[in-house]
Amino acid sequence: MDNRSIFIYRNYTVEPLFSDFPGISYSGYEDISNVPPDASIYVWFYSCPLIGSRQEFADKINDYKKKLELVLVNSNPSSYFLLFTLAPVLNFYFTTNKKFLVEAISEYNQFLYSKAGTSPLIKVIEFENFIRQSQEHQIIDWRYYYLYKTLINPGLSRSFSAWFRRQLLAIEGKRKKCFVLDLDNTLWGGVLGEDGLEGIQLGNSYPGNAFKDFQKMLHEAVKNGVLLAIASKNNEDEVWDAMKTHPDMILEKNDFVSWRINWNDKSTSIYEIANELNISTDSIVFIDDNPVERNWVSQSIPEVVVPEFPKHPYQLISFFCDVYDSFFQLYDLTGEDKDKLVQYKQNSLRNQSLQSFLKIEDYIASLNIMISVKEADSFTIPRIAQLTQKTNQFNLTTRRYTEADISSLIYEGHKVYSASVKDKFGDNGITAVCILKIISTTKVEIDTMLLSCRILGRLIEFALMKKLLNMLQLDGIDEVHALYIPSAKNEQAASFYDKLGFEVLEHEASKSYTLRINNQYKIEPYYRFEIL
Amino acid sequence: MKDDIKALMAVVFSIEKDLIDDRFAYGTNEKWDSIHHLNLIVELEAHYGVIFEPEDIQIMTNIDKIIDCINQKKKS
Repeated sequence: MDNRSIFIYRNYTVEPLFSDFPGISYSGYEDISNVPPDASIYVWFYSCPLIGSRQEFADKINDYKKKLELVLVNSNPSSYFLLFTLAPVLNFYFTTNKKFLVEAISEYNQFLYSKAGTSPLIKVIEFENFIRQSQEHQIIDWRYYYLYKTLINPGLSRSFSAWFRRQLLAIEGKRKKCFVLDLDNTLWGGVLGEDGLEGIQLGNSYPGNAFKDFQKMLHEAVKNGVLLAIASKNNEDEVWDAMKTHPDMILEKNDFVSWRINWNDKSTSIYEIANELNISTDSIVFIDDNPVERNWVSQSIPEVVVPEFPKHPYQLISFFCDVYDSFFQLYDLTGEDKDKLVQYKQNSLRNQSLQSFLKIEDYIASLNIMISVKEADSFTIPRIAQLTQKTNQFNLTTRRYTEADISSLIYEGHKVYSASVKDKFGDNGITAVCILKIISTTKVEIDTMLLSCRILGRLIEFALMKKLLNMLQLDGIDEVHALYIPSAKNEQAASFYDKLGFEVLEHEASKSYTLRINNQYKIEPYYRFEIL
Repeated sequence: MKDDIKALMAVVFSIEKDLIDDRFAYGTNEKWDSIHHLNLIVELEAHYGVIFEPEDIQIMTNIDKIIDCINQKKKS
């Protein structure tokens, strides 16, 4: 997966989170119209809608599922498809009963797992793990939320990059294999050789209970296929005796596949363990409370992962989770996952209505789209000017106008139209602009045609342009000139006029077109229009 | 401070520092679009230990305005 080209489907601004990764392209917000066949990794990164009623929330989440279904069907089956789980980012509920929200989220996530069960290249990325590891930080920065539509605080982009990179490594199968563990003050508190069997801290009161839980987690890791080994400066007999007889010891001798309990230096021990297990040293994670030992090992065998050990025993579990998540997370379907699958399959029966939405037209038809076209007036001019300033992607000529510019265009006789778009999820407001230069009673030129990225992906641009052309034809216009000026961002609009049947006049840096209109365009009936 | 900010900008916009002059401004250069503006603000906040208000963020569109804003924040 070198030279990855990653395509990300999203409903919020996520660019800052991925700014360290080259070769990334993004869909529009909630836009599924583009499924590039040459992407090596598709990423489905939708987050919970924040503000709205229960019903809106449920509708949105259902809509996300339908969208994902459509994209999956059309995506390249030999590329990876990574599905981010939904995680509740804003932990606020209007009633103490949050069952509804939790169920909606878990149903969505189960849906993702059921999809992951259909191909080894479709993987679920548990986004809540990132949220959990970032808990000390502000997850939402409301300033950026309102200014830039970011959900996850862009200040977390560094830790997000590191986390996402680890997910990619895990998916590529570069998982570590073995924990090499120190014993004293690592698996229990105190020093066995000095404090004795009764003196070490391991049991049901602090800090012994924290060490006991740490052992439990390591024990679970063994069940998940992780190898445990010991590199400790101790008396071997005393260690095995403690493992056997201490009532609160969780790990036992046969949980370990290799050990070096002696007074040699630890990097030698680690080399020997790696040799004995026939694994390479870069698949080892070394856990030791002693900074001198850690430093020595990371100096002498740099490929061994040596995480900082927590200062306080109560931090051991979060330490374990981070390390496990970073280096041992497994993405294959194991027995337990397979059991889950049965459950998911039952659930997906409930989602069968989705199956009827495999064509994008059917999906669009279900949205109840209403487009209101209006000539500019003093109320709409500020928004129109703003759209010409801000719109980059679907913008045929990228001409930037101020409010004063728009007013003088109108004064000079241009026709300035705006369109606002409503669908069953709500009103998007004014999100499209078309400016026509009237050349003669039979001839116009399209000066500006743009759509905000908020409403891309529903082929509204075609319906709207056809509607406008139909209106022009009724007014006696029979010749339309148009222009596509390429910019760094507007590639997706490049063949807009070609698709509408315009004829190319000139194709140099820009592309100019002409169209003879003699009859009305047919517009799909599921776009409803009102002309105000 | 100007030099520091130029250095930060060079990283955020991935361009040569020498190309950044006083006329370099939001919207006039292709590199300085809304996403890079956001990234720049995040870096400035981390670097100078200040928090900008949305009103500040919207007017910090060239180096001089950025410096004004940071100085104001540091005073208050």
